[in-house]
Amino acid sequence: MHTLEIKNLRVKIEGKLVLDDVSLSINKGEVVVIMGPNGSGKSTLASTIMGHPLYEVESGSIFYEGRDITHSKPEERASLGIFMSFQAPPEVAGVDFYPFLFEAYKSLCIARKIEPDDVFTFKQRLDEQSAKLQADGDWSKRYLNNGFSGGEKKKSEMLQLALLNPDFAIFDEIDSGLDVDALNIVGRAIKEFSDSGKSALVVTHYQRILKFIKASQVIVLVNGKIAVEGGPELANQLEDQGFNNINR
Amino acid sequence: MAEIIVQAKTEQLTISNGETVFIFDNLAENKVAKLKLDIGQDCRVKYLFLSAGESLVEAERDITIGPRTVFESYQAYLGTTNRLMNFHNHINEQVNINQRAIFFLKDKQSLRVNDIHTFLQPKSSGTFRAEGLLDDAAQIEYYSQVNIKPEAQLTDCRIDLKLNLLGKEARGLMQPSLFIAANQVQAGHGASTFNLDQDQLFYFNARGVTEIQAKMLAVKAASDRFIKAIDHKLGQKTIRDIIDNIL
Amino acid sequence: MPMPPEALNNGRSQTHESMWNDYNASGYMSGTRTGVDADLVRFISQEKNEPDWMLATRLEALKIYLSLPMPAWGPDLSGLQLDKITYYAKALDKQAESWDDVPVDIRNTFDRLGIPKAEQEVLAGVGAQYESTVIYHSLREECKAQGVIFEDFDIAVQEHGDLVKKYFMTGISPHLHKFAALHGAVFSGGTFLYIPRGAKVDMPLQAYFRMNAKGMGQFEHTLIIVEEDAQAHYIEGCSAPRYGADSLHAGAVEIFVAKNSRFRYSSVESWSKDAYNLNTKRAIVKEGGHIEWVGGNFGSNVTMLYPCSVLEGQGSKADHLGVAFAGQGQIQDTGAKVIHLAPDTSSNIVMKSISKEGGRSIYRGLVDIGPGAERAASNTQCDALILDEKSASDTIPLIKVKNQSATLAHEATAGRLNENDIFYLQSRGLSEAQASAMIVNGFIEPIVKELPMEYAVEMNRMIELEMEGSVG
Repeated sequence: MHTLEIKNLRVKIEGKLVLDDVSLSINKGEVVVIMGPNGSGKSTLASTIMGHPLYEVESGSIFYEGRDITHSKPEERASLGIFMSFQAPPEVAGVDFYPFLFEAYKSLCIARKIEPDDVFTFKQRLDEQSAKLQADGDWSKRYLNNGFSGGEKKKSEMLQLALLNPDFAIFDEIDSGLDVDALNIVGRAIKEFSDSGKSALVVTHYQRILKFIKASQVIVLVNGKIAVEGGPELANQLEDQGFNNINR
Repeated sequence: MAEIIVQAKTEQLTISNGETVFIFDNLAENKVAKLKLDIGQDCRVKYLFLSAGESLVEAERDITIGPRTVFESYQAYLGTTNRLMNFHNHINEQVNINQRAIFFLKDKQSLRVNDIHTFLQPKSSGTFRAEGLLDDAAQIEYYSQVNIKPEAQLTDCRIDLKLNLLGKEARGLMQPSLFIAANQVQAGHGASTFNLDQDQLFYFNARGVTEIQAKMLAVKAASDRFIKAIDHKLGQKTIRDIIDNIL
Repeated sequence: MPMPPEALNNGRSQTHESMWNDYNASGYMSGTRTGVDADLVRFISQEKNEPDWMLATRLEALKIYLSLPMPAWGPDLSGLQLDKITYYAKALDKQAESWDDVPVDIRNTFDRLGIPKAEQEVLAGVGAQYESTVIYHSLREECKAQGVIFEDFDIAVQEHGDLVKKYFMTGISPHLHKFAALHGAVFSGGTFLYIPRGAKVDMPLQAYFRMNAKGMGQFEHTLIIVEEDAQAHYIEGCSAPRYGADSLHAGAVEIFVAKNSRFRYSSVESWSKDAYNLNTKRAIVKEGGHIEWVGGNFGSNVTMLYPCSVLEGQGSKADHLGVAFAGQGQIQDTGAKVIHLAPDTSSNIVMKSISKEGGRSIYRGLVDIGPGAERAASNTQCDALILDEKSASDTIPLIKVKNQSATLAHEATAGRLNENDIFYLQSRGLSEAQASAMIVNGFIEPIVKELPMEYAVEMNRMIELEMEGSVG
């Protein structure tokens, strides 16, 4: 049984077709990389797997560990163990960051029928993980993602990854906008996640993040369709030749 | 800091010039329907007004603030049966006034607040914030009014109202008004409702947090900030206990 | 033309006196009959040869008028003596016979505003001239080609009775308030505009290019019907001061925007400084429809104007952009009202007001989000400039929220011109008045830029005129 199986997915947004007949499967412990030029549908694919209400699945299906989640709500998918690191995490002024983290943690524990830790234990783990991510400044005083720089937002996502303990993670352009140091930190976090035997889908525009993970497949999307698939060496090819030359 | 607890039968309270005090006005306990508070000049006053649980239906507070006084005012309406509250601040020269109000109403609770701030003399500044949550079929009418008299040049003030409607039957009315008769002033007001747009909601859902939980988080954030701002142990503990009970 | 002696009103502008010559001196005709009652209403209806249903509608409105008290909200109307006002004089006679009859100060203002002669004559109500203008003719052609009906209201009652009957006084009910009821009883003249389904009219349709423009009357009724998938822009008024001895204007504008249509109503009004300007303007917007109000209010003694958008259909939208200028002795009590009734409706209000020389500008707003308005969104920004210490500004928004999924934000600021900015401009050679005018024009620019060029220019010039007056 695959961890994630997508069969012939067709997705529309406001009546316009954005994903056309996309199929892929990810097994336990595998990391699949999705690449492609801007507008190719990579982020759409990520958001659709997570269940964004704006994306209508016209036909096809998404199965997670044998379960049809094609029309499930995002919170249901999260409770099954799916996590998505957002490309542009929204800011929510008025909601404090740490209480939000704890609330999310508790909700997911309850949904998975696990006893949540008390707030002190959780806070300890939070502090440990923030230190590892080298969070700048005191996040405890901030509203959710509010006033976070681009790099900090990505770290905030990684912090949540560490604390919410999902089984399958989607990384939507986690590497965009990061400087070398931040990239190293984020890359290590993803590696740690992958090394623990969990599966991941990495959506990226660049090749840089790939040095932190062992990609089992590389899939290239162009205009909402799969243009070419291959092993990790495909990524090198793309780096050299660009996306235009791989149209089949 | 000297501490004054408003007691039943106190209808007039005077703070002498230069005093530093904390005033605790717990309406449910003291049942003082009309209170006139006269604050002298050069004072530092922290005033906490609490209306929680079974409380008087109607009450009013008329407050005069002397020149150069720093006045921090906190109003908390927590699950109260209080239906009408009239506040009037008469602000003299070079006063610094900071007011924060929070309200949590539920069931069929209904509250009308008339919060009037009259700037009589020049060079004062004030911020007036009110934020709250309405659950079930609760209703609030919040009239926050700033009057700047012609003599009150160089006044600088702002009203900010935020409503968080949780229940389907909850109703809110806000009227932040500015009546300005002086021209060398800066005055502003803002009124908004707390709500999540589609992307924000998706983000919360993707983390296992429902919309209602998100709204409660917002409420918690507001009350945490309120409690922190009070910066006085008795006041903080009392408020925190009540809020914890409600939420 | 010889005039009956009763028509001469000692020293007042003759252009507003009745110029009948072949009608027997009747109190109504000579303009000496004051007050309103059933007789007057019947007379008006008969004069216009209206069908029975219209007379019935008038009488019903009269009944309501007599039963309603004066409005409790708004500015002080105690100076308004309803019994002493003339409610009807045949509109035709309000026009000047020739340009020479137009009062000198009015002519001067037109000149200073740089309004072309042909337009000036039209604006002065010198009716005959405009028909010879080129713009007028091409507008007529465009209207004909698209099936647009752009007509005098009186004529529309005769020729398009069914349409009028279907919509008249349904957007603005006589029950709304006393002046709406008054209007329903004694309305006279106005505009009927019908945009058929699918029509997209690019040229702005301007009030004084109507077939038989008569100049703004006291109780004009503008009825605008925009059918599905259509688009048009209508402009009423002008920024030149409208002179007149009429002390009360209680007109009405009803706009019906059907599914997926878009309509913009622009109006730049400047009433004479002794008038009470109490017009009611209301738009009812259906599913996917979009109404835009763009307005400028100058002059008049007391103006009360709150265009109201009723968002009835899902996804409907309203934009309100307005500028109000209150000079000496003036009260501009204006604002915007938006009523959200349906889901996914949105509204945007941008209001700028300026008060000087003791003037008082008041913004009165209402944003009402009804229980059915799921996911409604509303944004308001109102800014007030108080130019001197004699002047005042009030901002009194009322926000009602009855749906917990609505998003609403309202921001307002009030203050004066930034002295540094003025000083900077002065250091570049501008006089204080010029510098102030420039800054004030910049302040209102977001609204002015939405007006067609010639109106924008006029509005800017109006500001300059007003600002000049403020410096010794």
